[in-house]
Amino acid sequence: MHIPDGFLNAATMATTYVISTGGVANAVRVANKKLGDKHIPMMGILAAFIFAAQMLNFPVAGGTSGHIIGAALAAILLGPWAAVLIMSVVLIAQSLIFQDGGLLALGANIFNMGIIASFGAYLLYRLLGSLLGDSRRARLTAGFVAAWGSVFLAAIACALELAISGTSPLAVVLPAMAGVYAFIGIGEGLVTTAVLSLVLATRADLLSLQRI
Amino acid sequence: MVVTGSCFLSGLGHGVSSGLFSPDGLERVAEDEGFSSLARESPFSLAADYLFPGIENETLAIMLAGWLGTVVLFGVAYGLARLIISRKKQAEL
Repeated sequence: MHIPDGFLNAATMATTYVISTGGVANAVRVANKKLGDKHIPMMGILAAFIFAAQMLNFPVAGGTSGHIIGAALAAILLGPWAAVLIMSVVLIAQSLIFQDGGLLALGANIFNMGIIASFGAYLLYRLLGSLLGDSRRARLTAGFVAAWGSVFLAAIACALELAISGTSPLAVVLPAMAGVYAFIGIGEGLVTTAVLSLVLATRADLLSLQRI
Repeated sequence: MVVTGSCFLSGLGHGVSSGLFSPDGLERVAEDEGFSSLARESPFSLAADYLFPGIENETLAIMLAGWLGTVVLFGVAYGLARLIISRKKQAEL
């Protein structure tokens, strides 16, 4: 879902840059208050893992491929502001080193896949957690739905930006993006649930880290 | 998680080389709805398309790019977190 340069108009790129810069600045502020020594290696491992996992494309219907975003996993394990930091680092590196996602569109990409996906996942996970309880099955179910929702919401945000930019009419691009990413989100849900399940089985203590 | 990460990494190059070159969701929508030609190339290129520069063997180039990115991201995120914490400790002194 990395938006290349050329898809968004100047106003949309500027607006999303301002929002994302504010979001990252606030993430640094919150991390400065709450980040503990135990979070440090987790931040590094999650950023590296999300980058590697994003390189793995899985096929969806009709010659299309998808890859996970990873924001849901980061938000569930470390909290939404930590996830914003991790996703921003990943997205900046992808744009600067691998030319994946435009430099001018970086603000929009951080907004969609960093801020929207992280907070969408975290709120869904918390909401479902309070409804379903604390059991292993409840956590994994909540994780799956949160991961799917994070992709779907990011795709909606991306579609809105494309429509506002005049690139494609909303009536066309919104159902198209929602349709494709409803499928890709299933992959996100499966990967997130698999990793959560592994963490629950081997390092359940990691889930008791303070969420940031 | 480290174990899963290394499994993913050893898969890089095999699973990746086929997947990376079929369009992802946004690229597919852009092609279907006729706005993919608007995409502009980056003004510079380091390891574009996840191919390590100067390596002819595509699988190897992807694996090297994968390792490069993984190491860089671990280092940057770890370093950033440490920096944020060290500044906090300084502020407390």
